[in-house]
Amino acid sequence: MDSTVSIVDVLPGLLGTYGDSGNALILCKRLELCGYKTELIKTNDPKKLPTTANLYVIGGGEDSPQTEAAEILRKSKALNLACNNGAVIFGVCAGYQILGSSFVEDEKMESGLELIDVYSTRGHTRSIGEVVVESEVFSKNYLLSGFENHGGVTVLGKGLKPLGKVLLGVGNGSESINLKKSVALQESLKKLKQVKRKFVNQFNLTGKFGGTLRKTQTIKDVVLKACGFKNSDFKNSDFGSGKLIFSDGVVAQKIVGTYMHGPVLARNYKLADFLLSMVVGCEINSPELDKLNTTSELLRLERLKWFV
Amino acid sequence: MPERNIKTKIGLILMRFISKLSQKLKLGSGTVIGGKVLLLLSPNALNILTSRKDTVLVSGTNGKTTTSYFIAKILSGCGLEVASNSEGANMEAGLLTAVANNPDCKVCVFETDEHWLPEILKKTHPKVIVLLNLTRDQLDRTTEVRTIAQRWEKTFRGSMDITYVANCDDPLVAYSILNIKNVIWVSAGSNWTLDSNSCPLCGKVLEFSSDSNNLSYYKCTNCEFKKPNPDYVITSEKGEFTLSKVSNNTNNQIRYSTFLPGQFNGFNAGIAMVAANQLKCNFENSAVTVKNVTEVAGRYSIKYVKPLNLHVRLILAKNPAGWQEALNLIDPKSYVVIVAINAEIPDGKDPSWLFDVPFELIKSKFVIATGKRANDLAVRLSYADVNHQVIKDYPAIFNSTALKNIVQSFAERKESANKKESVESNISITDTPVKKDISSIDLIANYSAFQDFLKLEFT
Repeated sequence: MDSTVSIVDVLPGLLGTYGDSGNALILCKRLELCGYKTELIKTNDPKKLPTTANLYVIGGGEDSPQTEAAEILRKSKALNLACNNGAVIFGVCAGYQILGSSFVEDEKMESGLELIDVYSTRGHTRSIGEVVVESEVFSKNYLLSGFENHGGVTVLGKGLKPLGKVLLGVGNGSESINLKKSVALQESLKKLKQVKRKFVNQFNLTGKFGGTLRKTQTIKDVVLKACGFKNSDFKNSDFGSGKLIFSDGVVAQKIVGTYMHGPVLARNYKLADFLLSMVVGCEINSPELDKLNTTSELLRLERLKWFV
Repeated sequence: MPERNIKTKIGLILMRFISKLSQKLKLGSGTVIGGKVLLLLSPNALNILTSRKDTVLVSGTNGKTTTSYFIAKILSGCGLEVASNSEGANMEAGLLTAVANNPDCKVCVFETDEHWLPEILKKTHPKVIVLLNLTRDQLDRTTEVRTIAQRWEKTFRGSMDITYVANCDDPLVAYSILNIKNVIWVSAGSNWTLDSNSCPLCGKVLEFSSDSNNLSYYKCTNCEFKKPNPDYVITSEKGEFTLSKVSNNTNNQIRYSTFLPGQFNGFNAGIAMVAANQLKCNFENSAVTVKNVTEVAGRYSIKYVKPLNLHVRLILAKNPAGWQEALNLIDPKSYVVIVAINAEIPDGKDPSWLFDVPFELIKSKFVIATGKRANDLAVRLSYADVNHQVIKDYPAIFNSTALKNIVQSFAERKESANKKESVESNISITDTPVKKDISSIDLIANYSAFQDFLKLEFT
């Protein structure tokens, strides 16, 4: 590898609506503090998109810019070539959808870059709010925190692993519920939201939530328990096909996608270091990062506080 | 023409009573609750009350309050009786209260929430609509900015009898009145292009450049969409502004200034002058009026913290475009900046946008990060290499040892520097922070945090 690590902020003019350019800045800064030389390439010009950079960061965007960005990237093939060259690619929201085979804009199906075996459709309502994700990538006590704001549902191909299990929020939507039954899904979502609201209210009233999450628990169990309901108070159909477990994002070799903004790497520095370790081939660690990590952890824990 | 019916009359009486009650009980200014009561009784009240008046609507993401304040001031200066929602309550109830409190006025100047504009347009049959800009704002609770532009376009298409005074430097604004003839285009600048990198018309890449007169220019790389030719151009030089009418006669220009800081406020004043001109106020009188405006709805007001002998200037910034402007306003001499971030409903629940704000601009300052989302800000500042300390609780800032120590150490360093200076007077100390001032500091806050500070008793 070249001694300089190059990070590309891909088309921030089209895909930078939600502060996601921050992810590129964060990755760069962390590497520098670890003593690496870095180069941050921020370009809206398709001709200037490198094919040999080490890390590509793609952010969220509005519908029509997303379609335009997908077209530009399909034509330029920069990301496809970079992927073949072994680059790490990190996509958020619209940027995550683009990496898959297709997504929907204005009721039309648009082609993606087909870098990962996922496709996205439109959910019936927009998912907006805090997200908590438990990921196998990290130890169980490290929950990822983010903020989602999207109308998409993303379906992962067989064998693909999500970034994690959604403990709060929607993320990819549902992997266990057939999309044809999306109406049923939306109904159950509505119910879940009502219950969740009560859950949050109760939390605010009592100031604490008894018990921590166990891996075997579903959101349903947690929410029901927190609201003082018994399992039998609800029919299984209230929660779609029984267990309501959503996933968020995807981890496919060197490609990572998620619906989480925040920006997600500002809230979860370990996710940043996970990406960087794939780039440099070793653990990211330096006492120079301590101060940043402490600040970032304060934020993550503050965001999680009202959940767990 | 709709007549005032009995329900509206009863509603008006009740509204005034409730507004007063709300003020007495210190629940709030009573602007919104009063208007809501009136609306409940008489849903057509706004239509009825504005029917015989000349109405000016001012909308856009940033600058609404300031621009409508300028317009109202200019029109009053011209001897017109004006009703205006100067407190910034910019949805229907707020507008209604403004006109109901001044039912005999000749002119209404309403700043209007950009999402409410289509509805308010139908209800107020305005004479003039002023369109400032459209940029990203509170993405979690409102629509994406392009959707607003599309909604505007649809509404304006059916409203041909209105005069539009519009900022042609903002592509989304230009797009929204693409099919209208009656437009006065003002080139009033836009430093924020992040939300319009793709053509609002066809979605392809929009190219930004400068024209032969060094004014900003944009055109689509694919379709015919481009910056409209301005009828007026505003330029600035060292805090002085020039508003020029674009014509062969080069003498057709007026110089003006305002006490409000920042280039964007000067531009807002210029647009206000053009809008007021549509109601027959001449530019010379307008220039005198805008000059004397020092604060708008508490914005740029200065609070005094006696124990620290500290003057604190309050600056509001609501979204990345506004923050960029606000950071440029910070007094270069001051060392401490207080930045307050909340994420309440009116602010938007997702402060991801902090990473769209160029906090790198204030690397040389010491920032006190406050507000409910101070920790989000702290992470942003850390990655921007800005020295900072988190003090979440507002009053605690002014009692904090951090601020006291800074004030103290500055006083001492200044003293010793003064001594030194008298001995070695030829040594320049301009680059040391000693020359920086600690007696006045800037406080920049987003919407709900700003309201908190307005209410805070500074002692």
